Amino acid sequence: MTKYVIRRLIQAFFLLFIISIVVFVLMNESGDPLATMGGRQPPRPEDRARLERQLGLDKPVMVRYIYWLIGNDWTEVDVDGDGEGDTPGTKKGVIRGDFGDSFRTRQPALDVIWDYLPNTLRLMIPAQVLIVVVALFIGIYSALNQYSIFDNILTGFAFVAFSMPIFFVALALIHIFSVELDMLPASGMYDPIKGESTSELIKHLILPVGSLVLIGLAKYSRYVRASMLEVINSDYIRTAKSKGLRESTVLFTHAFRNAILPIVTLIGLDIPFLLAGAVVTENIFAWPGMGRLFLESINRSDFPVLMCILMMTAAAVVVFQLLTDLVYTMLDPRIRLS
Amino acid sequence: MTTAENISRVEPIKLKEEEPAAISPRRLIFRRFLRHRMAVMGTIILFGVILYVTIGSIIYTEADSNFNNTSIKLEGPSQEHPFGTDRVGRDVMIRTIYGGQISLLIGVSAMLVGVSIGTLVGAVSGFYGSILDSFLGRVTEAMLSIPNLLILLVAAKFLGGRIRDLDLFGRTFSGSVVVIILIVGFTSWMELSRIVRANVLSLKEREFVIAARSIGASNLRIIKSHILPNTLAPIIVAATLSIGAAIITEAYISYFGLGVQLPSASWGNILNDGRTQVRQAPWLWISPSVLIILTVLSINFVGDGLRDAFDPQSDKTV
Repeated sequence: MTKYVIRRLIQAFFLLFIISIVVFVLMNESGDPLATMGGRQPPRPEDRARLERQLGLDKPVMVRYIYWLIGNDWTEVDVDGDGEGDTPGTKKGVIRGDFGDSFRTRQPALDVIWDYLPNTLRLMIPAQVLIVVVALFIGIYSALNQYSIFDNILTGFAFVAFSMPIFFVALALIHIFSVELDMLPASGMYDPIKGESTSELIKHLILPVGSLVLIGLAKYSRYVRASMLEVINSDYIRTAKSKGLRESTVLFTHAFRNAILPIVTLIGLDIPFLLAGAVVTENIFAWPGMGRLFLESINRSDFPVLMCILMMTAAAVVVFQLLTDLVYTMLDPRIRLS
Repeated sequence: MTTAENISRVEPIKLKEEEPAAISPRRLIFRRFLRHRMAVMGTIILFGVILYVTIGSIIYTEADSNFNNTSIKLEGPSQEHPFGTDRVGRDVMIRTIYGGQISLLIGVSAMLVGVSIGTLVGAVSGFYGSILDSFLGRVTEAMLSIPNLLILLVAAKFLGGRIRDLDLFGRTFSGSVVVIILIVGFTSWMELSRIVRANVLSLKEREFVIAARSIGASNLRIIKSHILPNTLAPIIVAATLSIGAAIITEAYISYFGLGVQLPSASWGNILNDGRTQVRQAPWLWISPSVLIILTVLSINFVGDGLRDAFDPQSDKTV
């Protein structure tokens, strides 16, 4: 077991290393972070050269990658532009927990993310919890009543939801509840006039969470239904029933516990993606979360922040995959890791 | 009546009814597909959408789709402009016709790119195994470790504006169409490659492959004429479903303004146009959205029908 975990972790580091090189090179060729730094006017050539040296953009991309990865405090940076290093570097590099400074705000990239991450979690956690709870109820109900009207409606709904871009749901909800009925706010986290309060937050949460749930519910409820159907048609459930156990005992102590296993995997694999936020939903509802930060950073070519978001998500995915595998072996002793 | 008589009267049991006319497997699949009601309906709707974008482009020229008249900007649906007009007074219906062509083109081409890569990667890593397999496996994992939309946006930014506009069939296509096709294709092959790999792994141990090998068939020949034809069904199903996924992905990227650029229209960039007018002009997002949903929904039904037709025992619950 320990050996397995260690091997997986080594693989994970290798994987993250490869991802970081590819994404770094791709990103550093993908736009000009200096273009918007002079406000509306493009920066003058001499300012440009100075900014490039300051931000380290004058170096070839592989050198920039090495500075990003292990820092540049072991070498000297050329600030005055005479071609020789004169000032000691200050970056510590990712391996020492320094993701560099945001080009936009000049704050450390991690701090920038730290400002946005809680907002994303405020949006994504209620959405995910609602999705799982509601999916369990309707998934189990429709598995127990297979091919009933409710089940058929659910199947139809799932098909439509699978085929629907989330912005349609979001825009439709905005149109109904905030334009036509004028009941709920359509953007932001708080009302600038009414100030920050929990009740305001909840009001602003309803529409974005609603659209995330409507789309996410399709996938989860189908999984719950499928796994429940598989379990209740298995031999040990028939045995339990033929022993004369009560229907509810069979359902909750025998069927439910086994049916929930695949859902645990699904949740485990989805959690890391919650960190990245919902790019589309956050942008439509002007929610100040990670998805919006990502899009703003991409528009302004803020590489350090972008790299930080991508690597953080990738690392979370890798870690949660491993955790999910481990939890799964605990829940289902038949599975052996090798 | 004696027992003997009785026995003699028993008619000889017909072992078989008339031999049914032999049906080729292909016909059988077609028949099963026709029995799937939703799939048939999906085919019809899809056909309707294709008619809409082709006949529409015969009636209106591409110049009509770009013709702007600011005196009628942001007008709601009317007799003259059934889907209303956009922010510079272009007719939204004609734009959805030409945008639909681009969206469908992107869906099909991105599918071809994605399916080719997925099949190639899956077949190679399943067939050759060892180092190649673990390398390709790592690449697949790496691609799956980053949320698709994030990497798509980075790639769209990276390639944006690097491919020049193309002149084909007397029309000008924005280079961004090619960009979207490539990046959607390159980010949508992972699941198919896993399916193909698993199939190839089991197929290559089967007797007919061993027989082919024993008479000296080359690896390429074994893959091409013995293994791939036997894993065609999941490839076709995945290909169908990925057309729909590509259309939605295009809409997302274009919605953020990083996708298809002028002069080409697409369902996604019509939505982008309407982004700032969400409140005042709902028709700007409703008509392209409804077309996207109709198309993708019917493609998904067709894919589902194909899955059932190829494999009647397949798991229908998910």
